[in-house]
Amino acid sequence: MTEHDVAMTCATCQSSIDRCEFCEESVCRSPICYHCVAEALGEALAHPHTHGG
Amino acid sequence: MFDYEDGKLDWLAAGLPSEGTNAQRPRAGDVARKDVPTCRLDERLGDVMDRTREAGWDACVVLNEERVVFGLLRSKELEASPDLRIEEAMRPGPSTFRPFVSIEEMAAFMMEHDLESSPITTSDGRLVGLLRREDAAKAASELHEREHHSNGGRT
Amino acid sequence: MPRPIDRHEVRRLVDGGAQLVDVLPANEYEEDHLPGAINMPLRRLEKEARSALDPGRPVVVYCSDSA
Repeated sequence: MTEHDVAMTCATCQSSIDRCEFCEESVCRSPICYHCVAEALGEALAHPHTHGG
Repeated sequence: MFDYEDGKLDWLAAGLPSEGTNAQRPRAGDVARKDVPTCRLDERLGDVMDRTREAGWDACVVLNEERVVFGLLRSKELEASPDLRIEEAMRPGPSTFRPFVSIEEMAAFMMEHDLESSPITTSDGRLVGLLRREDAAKAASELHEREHHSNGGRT
Repeated sequence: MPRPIDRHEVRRLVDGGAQLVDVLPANEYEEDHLPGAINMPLRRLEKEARSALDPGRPVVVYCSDSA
């Protein structure tokens, strides 16, 4: 097994990721996926407004 | 009647002014250093490293003509062979964060992930500045102090 | 039907006297809103628009994003 075979899991949603999307490292003590980091930092829309516009 | 479809997040992501209770709290875009050294893809690492160190920095942001972030040279990348071209030496496509992100959240994440600096960009990828971990931690701690005092010491 | 515009056009229209209407819930408006915007959550928009807005000036509405 090489270092490229190491599987990472998002510490928040447990999805499988290649690297931590916050620090961009493939070795991280609390890896996080793109979706979860965006949500944690308020970059994703927390409460969708469904009004079609 | 007009519909600003991209809405408030687009406005804040562009670093434009806002009003409201959050406007008084520092955000990533307010604390990010606007004087961070920048360079182009076709420059030589040795020249960029000299310029960066002379300016007292240990990081340099790689931009194109439109100031869109292409890469980042943190201390580790700056120490590579001086003959490399920037595009060979840089960390390409670094994670970037928007100017409206709360400084407390950024500071907590940067400490937890031991990340020395993060480029802050607008939604179209243009550089706002470089947020350094120590600046984020200091601003978050000052904000905490200020709010603690304004609450009369209550937590 | 409202015409979609981008932030550059928002700035141009507001500089020319347009009225900005934030249709988000009041708590989100209180946290952050565009300079000079008034808050009129969607459920109140139809009822209050006539009395709160000047019909002689353009109106720009916005929410959080296009989602």
